[in-house]
Amino acid sequence: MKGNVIITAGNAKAFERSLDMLDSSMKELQRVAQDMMPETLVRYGLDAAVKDLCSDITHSGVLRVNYQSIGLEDAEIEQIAAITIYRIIEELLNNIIKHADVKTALVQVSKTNKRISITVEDNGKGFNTAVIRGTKGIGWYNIESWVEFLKGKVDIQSGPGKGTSVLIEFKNP
Amino acid sequence: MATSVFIVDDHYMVIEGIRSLLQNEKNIEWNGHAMNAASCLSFLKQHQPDVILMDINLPDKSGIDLCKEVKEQYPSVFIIGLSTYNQQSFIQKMIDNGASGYLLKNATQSELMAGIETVMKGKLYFSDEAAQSLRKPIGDVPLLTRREKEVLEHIAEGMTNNEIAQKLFVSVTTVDTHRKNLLTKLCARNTAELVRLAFFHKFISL
Repeated sequence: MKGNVIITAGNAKAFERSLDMLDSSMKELQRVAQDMMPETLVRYGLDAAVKDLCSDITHSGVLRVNYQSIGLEDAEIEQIAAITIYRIIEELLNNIIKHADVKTALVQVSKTNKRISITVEDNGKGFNTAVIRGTKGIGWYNIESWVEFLKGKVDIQSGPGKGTSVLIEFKNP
Repeated sequence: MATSVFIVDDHYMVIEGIRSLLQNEKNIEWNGHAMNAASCLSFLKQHQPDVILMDINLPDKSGIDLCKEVKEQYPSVFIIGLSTYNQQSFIQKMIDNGASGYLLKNATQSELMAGIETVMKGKLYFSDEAAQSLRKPIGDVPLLTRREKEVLEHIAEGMTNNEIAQKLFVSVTTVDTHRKNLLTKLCARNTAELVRLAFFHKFISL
């Protein structure tokens, strides 16, 4: 390895630009990694991660999310199950933000009798449950895949003007 | 009596920035810096400052864990958490582990000075933004989900789990889960108390 190297002005510029590109690539990678596996989820578990998610959304002003958890204090939830639950809640909250036209929502995660239930509800526009398959978005397809992965079931109560309540239950392995 | 301040952070610019913010303050004595948990701990063996500004993100150990260790070995040292993270869980954990305060890295000089002064008095200090994150949603009255309300009404009508399950087209296990959650949320020991509390909170009416 050579010590001090003298390079031309043109090369120096290219070098600087490369460093900048490396910096932004690293930032992007961190952001993607964080999205894939949120740090709070890994370090402190599902309860803390969902609590933060709801609190972040509330503080952004776009929707006030009330979070309640039951029985999650020393819950042993496998990380893959935890991230799946997290994604389901994220997706459902996104739906509310996009379609419900409402100011508050409720998220509840409970672990009772070795079963985990997730409830996300709002008092907004609601929708015709018969039609959800027809939507163009990939949201519901995702949710159904994740619930299937967890070997759980989804129960949706909604109707135009009647708000929406989604309940997902599965056995904690 | 000057307050001695030490900082642990793995970003040199943060250290320099804070040092220059504090260097003109008459009541502050700068004790130096460490850039990882290990060197912080070895510094503390020789000398204990009054206040440590502690970054949460350190290369060898999380500031949250370091905070706990430092408070265990040197309980009289005050620790102020320092971070770009505004997440409630990080702040809460830092305080649980013995920190006296929390500052975000976008804090102003006056917030920094106020923080140091306040924790020296033995009180807790949070920068405005950190305090906002900690505000819990208000609610003495627990919120019930739609299905919980339904199950509660039917319980009050005297229906059994089986009957409720049939009426609502769900499984008995589901009804049982809702029932158990209701007991927990309303802090009721049994069904009779549950119904009384339900009336009290006006979830059901005669």
